[in-house]
Formats: sequence, C-alpha cells, structure tokens
Amino acid sequence: MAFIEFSGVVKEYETGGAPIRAADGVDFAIEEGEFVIIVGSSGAGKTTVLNILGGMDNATAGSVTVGGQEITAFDNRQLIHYRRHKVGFVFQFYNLIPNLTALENIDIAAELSRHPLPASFVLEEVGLSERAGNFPAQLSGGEQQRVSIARALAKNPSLLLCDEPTGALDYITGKQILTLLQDTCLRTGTTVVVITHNAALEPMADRVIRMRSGKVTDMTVNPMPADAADIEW
Amino acid sequence: MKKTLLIDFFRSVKGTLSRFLSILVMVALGVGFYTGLKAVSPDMVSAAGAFYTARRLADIVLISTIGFDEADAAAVREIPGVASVTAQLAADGLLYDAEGAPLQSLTGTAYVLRVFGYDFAEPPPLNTLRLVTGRMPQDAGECVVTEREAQANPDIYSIGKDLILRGDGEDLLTVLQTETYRIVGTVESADFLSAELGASQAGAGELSGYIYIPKEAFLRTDAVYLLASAEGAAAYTAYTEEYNAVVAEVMERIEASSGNLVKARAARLEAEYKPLLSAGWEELPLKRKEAEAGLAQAREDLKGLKQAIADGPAEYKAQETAARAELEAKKQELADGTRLYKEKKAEYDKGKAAYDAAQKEIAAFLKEHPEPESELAMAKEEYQKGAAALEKASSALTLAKNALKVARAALSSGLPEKINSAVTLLKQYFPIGDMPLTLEEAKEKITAAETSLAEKEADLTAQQKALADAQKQIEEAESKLAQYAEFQTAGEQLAAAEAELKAAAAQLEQAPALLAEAEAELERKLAEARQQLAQLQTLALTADSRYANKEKEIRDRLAAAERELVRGENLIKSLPTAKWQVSSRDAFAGYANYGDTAVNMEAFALVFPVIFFLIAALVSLTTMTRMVEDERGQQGVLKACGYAAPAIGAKYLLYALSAAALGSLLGAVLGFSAIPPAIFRAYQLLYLIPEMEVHFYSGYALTALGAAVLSTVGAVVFSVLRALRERPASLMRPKAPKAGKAVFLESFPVIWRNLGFSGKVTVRNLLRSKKRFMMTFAGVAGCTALLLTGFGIGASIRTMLDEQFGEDGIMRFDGQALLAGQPEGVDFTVPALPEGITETLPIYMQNLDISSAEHPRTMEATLIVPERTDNLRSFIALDDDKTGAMLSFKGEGVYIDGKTAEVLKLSVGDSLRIAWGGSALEIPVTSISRNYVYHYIYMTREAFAAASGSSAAAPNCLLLKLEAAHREDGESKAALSRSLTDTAEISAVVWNSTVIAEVRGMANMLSGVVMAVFTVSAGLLAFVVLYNLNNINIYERLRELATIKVLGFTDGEADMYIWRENIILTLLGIGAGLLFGVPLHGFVIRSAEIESMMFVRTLAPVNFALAAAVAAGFAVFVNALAHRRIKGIDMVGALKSVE
Repeated sequence: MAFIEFSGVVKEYETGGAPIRAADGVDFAIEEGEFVIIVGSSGAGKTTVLNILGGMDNATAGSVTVGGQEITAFDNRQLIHYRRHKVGFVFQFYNLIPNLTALENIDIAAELSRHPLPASFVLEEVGLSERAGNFPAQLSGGEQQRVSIARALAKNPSLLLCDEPTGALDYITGKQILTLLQDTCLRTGTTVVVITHNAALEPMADRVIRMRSGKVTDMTVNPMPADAADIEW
Repeated sequence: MKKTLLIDFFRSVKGTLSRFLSILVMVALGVGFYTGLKAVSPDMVSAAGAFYTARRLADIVLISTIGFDEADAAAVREIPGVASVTAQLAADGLLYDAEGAPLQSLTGTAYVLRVFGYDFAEPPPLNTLRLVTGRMPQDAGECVVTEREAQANPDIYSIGKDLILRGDGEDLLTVLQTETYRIVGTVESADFLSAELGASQAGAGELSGYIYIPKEAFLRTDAVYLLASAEGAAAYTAYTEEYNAVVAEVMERIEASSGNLVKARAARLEAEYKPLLSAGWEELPLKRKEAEAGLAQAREDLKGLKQAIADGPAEYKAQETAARAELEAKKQELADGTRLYKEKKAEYDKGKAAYDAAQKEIAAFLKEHPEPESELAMAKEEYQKGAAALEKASSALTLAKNALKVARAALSSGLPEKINSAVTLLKQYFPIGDMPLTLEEAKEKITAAETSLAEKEADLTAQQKALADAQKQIEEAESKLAQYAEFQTAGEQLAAAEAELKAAAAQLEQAPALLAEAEAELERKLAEARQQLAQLQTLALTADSRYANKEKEIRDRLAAAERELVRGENLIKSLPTAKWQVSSRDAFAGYANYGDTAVNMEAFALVFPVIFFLIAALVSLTTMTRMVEDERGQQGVLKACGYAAPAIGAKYLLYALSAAALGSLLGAVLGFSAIPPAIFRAYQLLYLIPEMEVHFYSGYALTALGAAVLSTVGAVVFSVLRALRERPASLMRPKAPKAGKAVFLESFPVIWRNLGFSGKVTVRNLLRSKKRFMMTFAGVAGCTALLLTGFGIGASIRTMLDEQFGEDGIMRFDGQALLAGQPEGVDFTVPALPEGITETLPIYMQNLDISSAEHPRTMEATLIVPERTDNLRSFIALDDDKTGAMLSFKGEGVYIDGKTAEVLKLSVGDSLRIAWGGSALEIPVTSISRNYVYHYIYMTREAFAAASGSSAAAPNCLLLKLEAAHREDGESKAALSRSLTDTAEISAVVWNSTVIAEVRGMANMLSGVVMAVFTVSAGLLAFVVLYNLNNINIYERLRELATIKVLGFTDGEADMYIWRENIILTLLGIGAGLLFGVPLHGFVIRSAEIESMMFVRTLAPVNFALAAAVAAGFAVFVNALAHRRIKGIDMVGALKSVE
C-alpha cells in the first residue's frame, strides 16, 4: 500500500447558488520518501488537495489515507493530532510569527511535537544559525522561507507539505529553497509534496501529478529526477 | 469629501461595527455619567425650588420663647423688606387609638403629633396646603393629613379615621376645642421637608407626625411660629447665593427690631396673665373639690356596678323560676283543652249516629209517604166522616134498642093493642112487614128484630174499632211529622256542633307550636339574662382599672391645671429674658440637608466621567491606530492616486467624530433622563420633595461633548497624522515592526528561556503596544475600582446596622424600656423586672439640638446620661472613632460621635453648643466616639449636672440586656414586652431588633441600587475594553492564529495564545483597581453619606475578593466570546497572500 492514497476525493463548496466542485474525483498514490510535485494552473484544485492532505479541510466524498490511516475519517481532535505530529507546512508567505525571533519561531513547532529536532540544529540545517536572534521583519524573503522550512522540519514530520514555496521569492532564492527541500527529502527520507503552478519544476520530482479542473489528468514517475540546482525557469 | 470616500467611510463603519460601538459606548458612558451626575444637583435644587414656590414656603421663621400675638405679626409685617407674614398656630400632643391606648412611634416611644392650625376658609399667604384627596376640614373636629403619611401609615392616617390627642402632662383642652379629629382629606405641605421631623417638647422629644386642623379649633390665638417672606427672594432659586443674601438682609432687620417687639409683647402678656393667674390659683381648690366630687361619684358608680354584679345570679334564678312556672301552666292548659275536646267529640259522635239513624228512618217513611201532610188531611177528613156516621148509627141503635125494649114489655103484657102499637113502633126500626098479625107472628117478629139488633150492634162495634184504628194511624202520622221537624232542627244543631269541634281541633293543633315558641322565647330571654350577667361580670373585671384610669384622668387634669398655673408663673418669670429666634429656611427640617445632598452629588460628577473619558480616549486611540494601520495599503493607494492627506485622514476623523457625537448624544439623553430621577428617588426616602422634573442642560452636554471629541478625535489625529506623513510606497508595504523588539525580560535568560514561545509572544505583544496595554489596564483597573467601591458601599450600608446594633457593635443592649414619669425628688429605683432580662442600665435620654461655633446650623442628637458607669460597656461601647481604642467615660465634658465632630467641625477640646430650655450650653468635647447611625452624645451625671446647672435629670429609660435564648426569639420578646409594660413604672418597650428590621429594608434597597449602578457601569467598562482588546488582537493576528492552527495547535492552545495577554492585563488591572478603589470608595462614601449617618468607611477583605472575582468574571465572559471567534477562524486563511 502506498504511503499516501487519494481515491475518488471530491470537494464541493457551497457558494450561494450551485455548488462548486474544487476536487472532482481525485485519485493518486504517493510512495513514502518521494519528492512529489503537484502541478496545475490556478483553480485546478491543487490547493484543495493540499488542504485535505494537510488535515485542514474535509473531503466531501472519497477517502485519503496517509501511512495507513484514513484521515478523511478523522474527527477534529484527530485532525489536530495529525497536523501536530505528522505534517510539516511551508507556506507561500512564510507565516512567521512577527513577534518571535527566527529561533523562537522554530521553537513553536518544536514545542508542539513529540519527537522534535532541536531548533538550533534545524536552523543550522537551513543555514541560518547566525540569524537566530533576528525577528522575521529583519530577514529577507528567502531567509524567512528557510526559517519556515526549519519550523516545519523541527517537528520531524513524516510528510512535508509546501504551498508554492518559491512563489514569493526571486529566482535564485527560489532555487536555493528548492534545493533545500530536495536535500531534506533525500537526507531524512521525509515525503515532500510541493504544490506549484510552475511546470518547470517537474523534472526535479520523483513523481509529478498534473491537475486540471479538479481532476488528476496525468501522473508520471521520474526514475532519475534532476538536481534542483540544475532546473531553469 | 469625495463621494467614493464617503461610501468607503460607511462601509468601514459597517465592517468594523464592534469597534465603532466600543468607542460610542465608552463615550456614552462618560458623557452619560458626566451629564447625569452634573444634572442631579440643579435638578434636585429646581425640584425643591418648584415645590417651595408652589407651597409658598416662608423664607424666614421666627420662634419666640413667649409666643406671638396679632400685634407681633402686624409689627413684623411693617418691617421693611418683609413681604408677607403668616402666624402659625401649633400644639404638640400624644396620639391615642380609638380604645384610648397610646400609640407608639417607629422607635417605640410615645407617638408625638403636631397639630397645626390652618385657615382653611382663607388660606394664608405662606406655607399653603394643596388638597390631594378628600376635602378640606369644615369644622373644628376635622383635620387633614399629608398624603405621604397617609400612604406610609394607612393604619393611622386614612380618610375617615379618628385621631385622638392627649396632652403630654398638660391639658390639651385648654389649647384646643376638642381632642378628637376625623381625617377628611390628604394634603401636600412644606412645613417638613425631611422624613425626620425633628424635636418636640412632648413625649420622648421626637416628633412622629403632624396634621392640620382649622385654626378656629385653637382656643388661644397665640402663634408658635411667625412665618415671613422676604421681598424679592422669590426671584431667586432656593439654595443660591443670591437668595441667601436677600433673605439674610431681611433677617438682620427683623433681628434688629425683635428686641423692642419682644419687650412690648412681654408687657402685654404680663398684663393679661397676672389677673388670670391669681384667679386661677383661687379657683384651684374649687376645682380640686369638684374633682373629688367627680371621683366620689365614680366610686359610687363603681359600687353600684359591683352590687349589680353581686345580685345578678340570684335575680336571674328568680326570673328563671317564674318564667318556667308560667310555661308549665300553659302546658297544663293545653292538656285540659285536649281532654275537653275529646269528650265533646264523643258526644258529637253519639248525636251524629242518632241523627244518621233518624235520617235513615225518615228517608224510609218519606219513601212510603211521599206527601205526608196531604195524606194526613185526607185521613182526618175521612175519619171525621166515619165518626159522624158512627154517631148516627149509634143513636139509631139506641132508639132501636129502646123500641125493642118496649116491644118486649108489650109482648110480655100480651095486650094486642099494646102489641100492635109496639109492632108499629118496631116497624119503624126493623123490616117486619105489615099487620094483621097474630101474637105469634108479632112474637116472631120481635125475636127477628132482636137478632137484627145483635147483628147491628156487632157491626157498630166493628165500626167503632176501625175508627179507633184510623185515629191511631193519624196520631202516628202526626207524631212522625213532628219528629221530622224535630230532626231538621237537630241537623242544624249538629252542624253547629261540628263547626265548634273543628275550631277546637284547630286550636288544639296550634297549641303545641305556640307552646314551643313560648319555651324558645323563655330560653332566649334566659340566655339574654345570662349574657347580661356575664357582661356585667367581665365589666367587673375591668371596673377597677377603668376606675383607676378615670381617677388618673381626673387627677391628671387637675395636675395639668396646676401645672398650667405653674407654667403661667414661669412664663411671667421668663418674660424679662424672652427673645426671638430668627431663622432662615434652615428651620424647616430637611431644608439644609437637602441642599447639602444636592451639592454632594456634584462631587460624583467628577470621578466617574474622568474614568470613563480616560478610557474612551484610550479605546479610540487603540481602535483608530489599528484602523489606520490596517488600511495603510489603501491609504498608500489613495495617496498614490493623488488624494491629499486631509482627504484621506478625514475618514478617520469622521469615524471618531461620528462615534463621539452619537455616543455623546446617547449619553446625554440617557444621563439627563435616567440618573437624576434615580438618585432623586433614592433620596425621596429621606426628603419630602414630591417630584422632580428632568432638565436638559446644554452647557453640561456641550462640555461633555467637547471632552468626548477631544479624547477621541485627539487620539485619531495623533495616529492619523503619523501615518499620513509617510510616502505612498512605504504605506503600501506592511509596517515594519518597531525597533527594540527585545524586551527587558530577555536580560534575564533564566526566566526568558523558560517562558516558552507563547509566553514570549505574550510578553512582546504586551510591551509592543503600550496604548493597548494602557487601555486594557486602565479599563480593568477602573472596572475593579468601581466594583470595589460599589461592593464596599453596599457592604457599608448593610454592615452599618450590625456595627451599630450588633452584639459587638456600639449599641449592645437589646432593648429600651421607657419609664413612666417619676415624681420629682424621688430617688430612682430599678423596678422589679421579669425573668429573661440579665442586666439593666438606667439612663437619662433626651433629643436635643446641637451646633457649634464653626457650624451654627443646628443638628439633632440624642443625649445619653447613664445613671451608672460601671457596667456601661455591656450596653454601649464607647470607642475612639479613629483608633477604635476603648474610651474611659469620665470628666466634665461631652463625648460626641465622629459624624457630629465632622459636621460641626469639632475636635477634642472645642466646645459643643447644646440648646437647653431656651438657652445654649457650651460644653467642651472630651472625646470623639465611634458611631454610625444617628448622633449620640454622652455625658456623665456629674458633667451634665454641672453643665445644665440643674440637679441631674432623673432616668427616663432603662436599657435592657436579654438572655441569649430570648434575643432572637420574637415571641418571647413580645411576651417580655407585655409583662414589662404591665409594670406601672414602664410605659413602653422598644427592641433594637425592631428598629433594625425597620431600617434594614431601606438599607438593603439602597445598597442594592448602589451596587446595581456600580456593577453595571463597571461591567460595561470591562466589557468594552476587554472586548475591544480581544477584537483587535484577533483581527490583527488572524494570520498568526490560522498558522498556529495549521501547525497543530488545539483549540485551547489557540485560545490561550490570545487570552494569555488578556489574562495578564486583567490581573494587573485588577491589582491596580483594588489599590485605586480604596481612595475612590472613601471619596464616594463620604459624598454619599447623609448628615444623620456615618457609613462604615473601611473595606472588608471580602469586598476586595468580590470585586476581583466579579472583574475576573467579566474577563472570563469576554474571553468566552473570543473563544467562539477563534474557533471560527479558517485555517485556509493562512495560505492566502498578505492583503
């Protein structure tokens, strides 16, 4: 059984009139330790997939299993537990707590988790030890995103979800972040799922899931993924 | 302002309604309290002013030690500046109920009633009455009472009830025409403005009520008061400087003339009284004799009554025997009647049977002889005929017999001629044929004649017999007819007899009922007789006491007459020192206190609004700062579009301004209309001003509006100006966090490291936004201080009674027994008391007017002079007002209570002025003792004797201590009261518990109102501030909250992320509020106190705990609201881009 399995996942939003189907029977499976890229244009349903996979939203129909547990059957408490211990998030806009320093922002996650990695260690992992005492506003976008990744990693998650991690960054910084994510995946064996509209990132993934109009249109497994540093866009 | 910006403004208000409302509510609170409290004083003054004007309240009151007459009134009227004068007749008496039992006042003393004489026909120019219900009195036995008393005491003062008055030691009938007054109406009057009516010479010195009677009911026209009004004073409102100045001037003028006027009056009195007095003294023995005669008569009556009672039973017995005999006779009569009836009935029955038989017989006869009369007549006729025929035949027979005799004789002679002639004769009578006849033949013929004669004879006899039979038949018929006639009369007789019998039967039938009635009547009469007997016997039970009462009344009247004379003598003696006391309206009980109260209220108008305005400013500062910062991007865009800074800033100004203006309007309307009436209503418990009109004071409203605008708009200007100076580009970037992010706490790594990220966030947040910190801190502190003040005052009012009357309080005795007048010169001995009373202390107690040099206005106090001092502390605790240390009771001076010292501005060593029988005593203050309710001053017997110059006053009251078992038991107390008042020496008993119960209701209401006002305003304050803080915090950290939720925070952890800050601020605020509340409570309680009370001014720990708990409760409530909002935050928001 695959690490992550989506089968027939439907998500409908009630918006006054006719319900909108954001996910319309999504089926895919992801193996443990894979670096996965879910790609699609705006409105393809990739964020919906991320929300459901991240335990932030419920599916209207279908089932999602992660590591053998059917998260679509979880109640609110179980979802919180799942987010807390299993999932690491990297947001497009970093979402660091402005009133905490870089190190303290990582502590947030570390204090939550059962088997955390030391905050300073993770910070060193992302190469920001010397900025530990700085507040987010004193960091550049790339640095903030690295803190964000460090925060996600500090929880020692089995699944790392990244929502357009390079969306707000320039080319070079974006590349550095992608490299970091790829390295993390390789070194720690964490399953990494990156959501992006940027198809140019496809080559670096072990598995590429393409979406359009709430459906998976295509899924390819890449036996020889490219190094993130070699990708151009 | 451009239209689009206006639309934006309205949308902003709509979108941030809770912020808008929080500014509005804070402003409304501040403005409401400010305007409302400011308006209380002028509203109360104008309410009083309107009432005074309506009732034409006099400006000046004159009291003379020797009263006033018409000449005095006329003279005062002539004094320049005096507009009008009214002479007021008055007398004080004790009130009795219809059974003649004395009534008690609330405090258990004799009920002293003041009777004012009023000219109902032609109302006086000053102190007029207004009829409320019923009608005005028309004759001397009628009166009107005040509507307020009628409402408060309907048992005593209802229309139609009678009030019976007696003099206290004097004969009221020498002053008034009658002692009984029927209430015919209720009025509104202004002679008393306070529920406390002040002092009286009668009873225990405390006036309990007052009524108005026609002045014609007064026998003497000497007035007790002269009321005067000052020219021009009516133009000014009472209590104002201008008013006081006008009145003071006139008062001075009256004062100046009073010396001569009083001398003239004294001369008139002397001339009038001297002859009266000497006549009175002469008359006195006569009166005494008269009284003795009256008493003798009463004794005689008593004896008669007793005799009647003694004879009663025997008389009754005799009456009963006679009546019963009469009844027996009647019964016998009935029995006789019945017997007689029975006899007559039998007789009748017999007659009736005979009659019935006869009737049957007659009926048969009549059937046979339908016409008996005519039949009888025919029979008679036939009989007559028969009789005539018989007679003829008889005489013919006799002739024939004679002829035969002749023939025989002839035959015997045998002579043929003789025979021939005989035969010829015979031929006449017998058919024997012709002659020739031989003898033989003749012989034969004679024999044949003889046979025929025999035949004829037999025939006649038969005929005779038939006639006799007919005769008999006729006779029989005649007798039958006679019998018939007789029978008819018999029928009539029988009918009569029957009627008679029927009547008799009817009579007999009624007889038993009549008899029963007679018996019932008898029993009733007997019962009546018995009842009369019983009544007589009960009468006998009270006869002695009634006689005693009567005797007392007669002796009292006599004593009163004598006292009257003595009083007259004393009056004459006092004439040289007579003087007038000229007072302002202060003479009307309650006038001055009411004014003070009104002024005190102004003090509140400062405290509350300052708190609320300060917080309003902080709320609007934080809110507007937040808003301006939130909309940085928009401002940047607008600026980039070319809008000038003022145009952009106008929106925020308008936002604050409209919130402030709306809030001010709302606050002013609520403040002006709600607060003064609420406070006025509370004070109506104490003052008799009937109604208050609410006014809108634009000055106060504008001041409040100004303050509101200044605090809110000022805050906006402050935050907007800074933002709008920035360039569009920097505006469009999110505002960089302020420098100096590291807080001082970080220099203590031990603490800092153990804080955890939540703690760190909290600490940094707290210190980052000082405005918000201040707002919340001040708000919660204000809330807590208000709560502490509210609970403190509530508790003060409630515990005051326990502190005053409790077992460890000041007045520790359980009750007072008021002693009946003790003959002068007799040493006091404690009367024998029933069981259950453990200890007693005789005291002399008197209500007095006291004043001081610094405070010439008099106030009322009760003087207590204990007979003994060794056990004083079991009854009254004299402790130092400040330190609570026990005071030793001794020395030449007077002990006064704390509130008296405060009002009269006296300290130890100053002298207290006591009004004592027309003169003023100056007595140095020895110590100031603790006391809460009313005013008590204490002196030792020696000190009092020395100060008053008289022998120490005899005890008139006995303080009682009860066994613990009786203390809480109302029934055993009532029983004790009864057995105590049965003692001749004790006239009335008052239990402290009764007094407390009476006051406790009012105290609880007052404390309830106070606590409600404080709690509600504190709650609003806390709510607005904390809600606002949460609101801003949540709004500002939506993204943070969404993020931490994505990170796996539980609901509780997410709540704490917001609450922690709130909780810390609340705790800090509560701490500060408890500190700040102490002086606030002190200030408010001093302002709220009235002259006759000192509240417990210290705060009990429980009040601190309560205030903190309630403030925390408010915070919990607001946080609970925040929980719902936090729970509702959508995690997906964390993924969205920065706005």
